[in-house]
Amino acid sequence: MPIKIDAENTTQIIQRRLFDQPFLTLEDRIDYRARRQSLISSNIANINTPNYRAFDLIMNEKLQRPEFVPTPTSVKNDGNSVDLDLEMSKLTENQLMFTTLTMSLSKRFEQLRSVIAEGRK
Amino acid sequence: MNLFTSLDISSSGLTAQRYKMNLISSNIANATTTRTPAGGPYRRQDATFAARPVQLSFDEMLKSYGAQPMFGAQPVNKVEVIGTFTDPRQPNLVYDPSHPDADANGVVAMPNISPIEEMGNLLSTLRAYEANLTVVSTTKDMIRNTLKI
Repeated sequence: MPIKIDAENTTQIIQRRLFDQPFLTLEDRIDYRARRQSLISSNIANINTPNYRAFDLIMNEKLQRPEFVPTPTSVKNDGNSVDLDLEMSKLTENQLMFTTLTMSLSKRFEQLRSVIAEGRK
Repeated sequence: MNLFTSLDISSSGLTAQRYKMNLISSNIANATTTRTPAGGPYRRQDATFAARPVQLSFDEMLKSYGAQPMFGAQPVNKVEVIGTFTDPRQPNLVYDPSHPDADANGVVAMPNISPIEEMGNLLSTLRAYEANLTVVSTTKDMIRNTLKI
């Protein structure tokens, strides 16, 4: 039995596979990194604030969304729990991951461009 | 909450640390000042900081519903200088009869400032300032990266 190709449906599938899915995931991850950056800068800005508790934004793999979690650091005498070394290393990690994500997003666009350009030949 | 929020937060940190730095330099400069407009020797000044939650947009509140910590504290905060306070420690009493501000027993009330303590505060404030500066430049790099997409 020959496979019937539904043109309408095929276009939709191509659109979803090629354009929506990869971009949506990357967008989500970039958004997560940007939010985490705000949180890290908040922790570093409040390094001398009494009673300030440091939080981290951690991706919950089961719920597929980030969650605020208090950092497991010791609380100082003034009730502040910011660990500068930890925050600085988190900052670097976050920046590297962000760069990775933005680079892969621009590579996706490059791939699409080459598909469009080469397909015509 | 985007990358510009992060810049805002870091700049509030820079402002707070700079304010504290001003107070420390005032303390060091006035380490031997015995006359003030309020009368008596100079008293050590220090700043109090407080965390101020960053206002979330309605969309962000909706999205983060249920993801917030249980005890209701908003985790993303700017830092704010609430004000200065005067150190309650008593003035240092130094015996110096030749000093014009000495009392009948030849004792002068000197400011309650320990230069070592001030130098320690100076360094820790400097480090905190630098940390905020690092965050600003990192965030700037990240924003530049998004422009390259």
